[in-house]
Amino acid sequence: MNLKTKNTECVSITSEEEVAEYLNDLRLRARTGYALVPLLSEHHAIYRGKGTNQINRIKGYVLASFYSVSLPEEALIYVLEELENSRTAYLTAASAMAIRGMSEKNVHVVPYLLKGIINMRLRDDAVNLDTYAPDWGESKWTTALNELLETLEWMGAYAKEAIPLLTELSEDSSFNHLIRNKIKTTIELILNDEEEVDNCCSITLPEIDSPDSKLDFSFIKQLQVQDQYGEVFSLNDLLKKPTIISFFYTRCTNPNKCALTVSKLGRLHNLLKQKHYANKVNIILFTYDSDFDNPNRLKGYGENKSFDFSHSSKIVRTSSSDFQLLMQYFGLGVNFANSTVSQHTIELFVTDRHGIVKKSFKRLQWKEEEVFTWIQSNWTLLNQGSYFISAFKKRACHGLNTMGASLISLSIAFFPKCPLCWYGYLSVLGISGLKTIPYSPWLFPVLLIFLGLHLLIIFRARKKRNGITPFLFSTIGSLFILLSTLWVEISITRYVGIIFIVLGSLLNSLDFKLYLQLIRPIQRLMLTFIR
Amino acid sequence: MSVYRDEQLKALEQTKQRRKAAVGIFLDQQKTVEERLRAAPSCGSFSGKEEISVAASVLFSSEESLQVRIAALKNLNVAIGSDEQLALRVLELLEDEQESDMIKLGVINIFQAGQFSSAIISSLRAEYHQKLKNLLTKKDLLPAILYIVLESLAQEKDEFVQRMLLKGLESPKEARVEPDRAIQLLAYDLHAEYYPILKKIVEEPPTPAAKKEAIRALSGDQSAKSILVNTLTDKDENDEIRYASANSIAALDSSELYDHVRKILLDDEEDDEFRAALLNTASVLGDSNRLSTDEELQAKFSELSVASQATPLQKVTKRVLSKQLKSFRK
Repeated sequence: MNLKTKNTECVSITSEEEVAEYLNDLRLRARTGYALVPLLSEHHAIYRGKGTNQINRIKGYVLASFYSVSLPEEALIYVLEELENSRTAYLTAASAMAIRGMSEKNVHVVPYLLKGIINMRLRDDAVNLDTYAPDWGESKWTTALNELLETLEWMGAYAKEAIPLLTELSEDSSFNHLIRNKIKTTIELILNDEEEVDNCCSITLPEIDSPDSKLDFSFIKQLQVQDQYGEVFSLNDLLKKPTIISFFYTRCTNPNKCALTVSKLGRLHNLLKQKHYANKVNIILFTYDSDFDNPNRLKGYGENKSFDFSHSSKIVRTSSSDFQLLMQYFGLGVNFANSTVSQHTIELFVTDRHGIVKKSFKRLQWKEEEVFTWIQSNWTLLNQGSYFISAFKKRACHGLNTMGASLISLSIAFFPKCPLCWYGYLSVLGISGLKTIPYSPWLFPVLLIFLGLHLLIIFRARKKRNGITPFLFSTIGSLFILLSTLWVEISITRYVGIIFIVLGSLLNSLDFKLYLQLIRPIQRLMLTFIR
Repeated sequence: MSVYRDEQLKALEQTKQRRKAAVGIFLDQQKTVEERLRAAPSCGSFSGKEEISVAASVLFSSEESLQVRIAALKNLNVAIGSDEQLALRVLELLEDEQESDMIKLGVINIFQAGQFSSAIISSLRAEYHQKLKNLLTKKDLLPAILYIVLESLAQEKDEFVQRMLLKGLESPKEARVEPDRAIQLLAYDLHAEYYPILKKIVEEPPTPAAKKEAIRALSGDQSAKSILVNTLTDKDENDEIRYASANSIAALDSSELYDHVRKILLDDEEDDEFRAALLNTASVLGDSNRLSTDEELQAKFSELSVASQATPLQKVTKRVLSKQLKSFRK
């Protein structure tokens, strides 16, 4: 199976057999955990349209795979997210196992493992992490609590801060004696481990700041939203002040996610009141499930969770089509199966008075004080300038980042990486400059051979790399150069030729995913032009 | 007062004596099976180390008669819920190939009840579920056991059971239970991936019961609104199924229900009992404000409520009208 092709065409993988084949192949061929990291994001195509249990099966199986292929830093936040929030034994067990794939132990993961134990109290279940979608029978099985304790044992001296809670839990009758005995063994192993603990370094979690939104605020500011009393507003009216925006849905079954988010927002509102910020900051809570969550349901849910409704604190919904725009603007980590939310993460955004996202708290639980402190210390940032300046700054930063990344990519792409590439470059630059050399009949066939070699290499690489298009670009470029060298006396044809050959080389050297992102809009444009 | 107290103490003592005698008979292997079975109900739950130990040996003995073992198991329920070692031993019976299905059924019943009443049984959730999942892999499982195992795991939103049920709905040859039962079990989980297959079932129902269950379960799927409305307004459809559609529409969006119900209520060609049921649903779950301000509908209600025969529809319309009158007076 061509891994690269499958990775971009995961939408077509629907049956359990196809998913199992894909994941097993990936698990087998992945030399490091990096290849598996993209599969942890809700934005990965493999999750599109799939139901909650299937998503959990895929995610859990991928998480468990990190045990054997090592856990890269980029994946750690997803692992901690599941340990902290999941109430599913399968995901918790897989995440605990993934921690044992870390190259270096770190004391900072211990609180998350303990949270996992608390989450699994009376929720533990038998799981099989060796096979995708096991049929049980005689299959090997483990439990989430077992895996969590195994991981704490593996942490050894690094898990010393877990001892007080573990000691308490070892007497807790909500665990059976097998687990209580395992807890006691874990405590002994931790205490007896004499390894020197290096706790100087905190975990490096990727900074998930303002989302890399492709949309400008102007696309969403006219969206109509309906609040818990049925009143309709434009989003622009609600976001004229610094605003805290979060997401939930009333049918969410995980008490660590939506229910907790709503309650915490209620407490955050009280904190804002105490600090005299309540009138200066809005709190807007959107539902993911806008068709089901009508104003009555929103109001009832908010009241049950002590959400403090006021003119600056509302629970709202948009139409499901408008919600797609919000999803893009905020880069939301949510998926739907038919009309039901199948997967979502915890996400809270702080926007400035122009509706531009300045800070996001994603995946891990945010604390009310943490959000308030950030708002307080960035108050000037949230209120400064005009919309255009704010939007321009964002664009400029984004543009510079993209340009920087592109320049590096281009340099890497253009750098001749093998002797044959050098031939290619020499042939192009040599032939195009042939006219400037006083007398060089012997040089022409040599450079022609180099040009031919260049085309041959790109042609032969078409199956392994990015198809026939790069070859076509290079061929057109070669024809232009030959034309300018042999017949036409216009220098521009020479430069056109060089550009085409360079483009051909660039397209050939790009990562397949990036190549598709680039080529598809061009194809669409060409199709539109033809029509 | 003291006479009453003495009488009660005497009765209590007699009961104790009777129980002691019954336990003695039940645990005595020299007695006949009939005698022991007659004594079993008077034993109550076994208590005390020795009594429990002997009763457990009866349960685990292959030489004892099946009925006596079943009776021992029933009376050991409290002991199983308070002794983890005994509970684990009893759980092992589920994996014993030679063990009787009736004993297995008894074990499952005790563990099901114990999930709520015993801390020990609820702490063995993982072990219990693993045994249940393994039982499901046996193709010749007694239907009574199959149903209770599926029910227990489906209530816990178990992914293995959901996969099994969905597979059965997609390819009936592999189905372990009837489609309507499978839908009921899947409906324990809003996030079960079954809405697409439910829509197919509504279009090509394997049985009328399956269609009715599918319609009920679609009450959680906003995208099924048009299917539900089509079913409700289809006069050729079975009234029970149409009524189920009305309820599902009300659950999805009560305001949507009104217009469709209105047409049916005004249509004299529709069955009276069906209209009565619909009116009831609309008045309880639907938009009651619109119902009470709709003049045409009110006139219809008045006409129906004075009809000569006391039909169900007449009763419901009278009730709705009197309810509206009361709220108006307030």
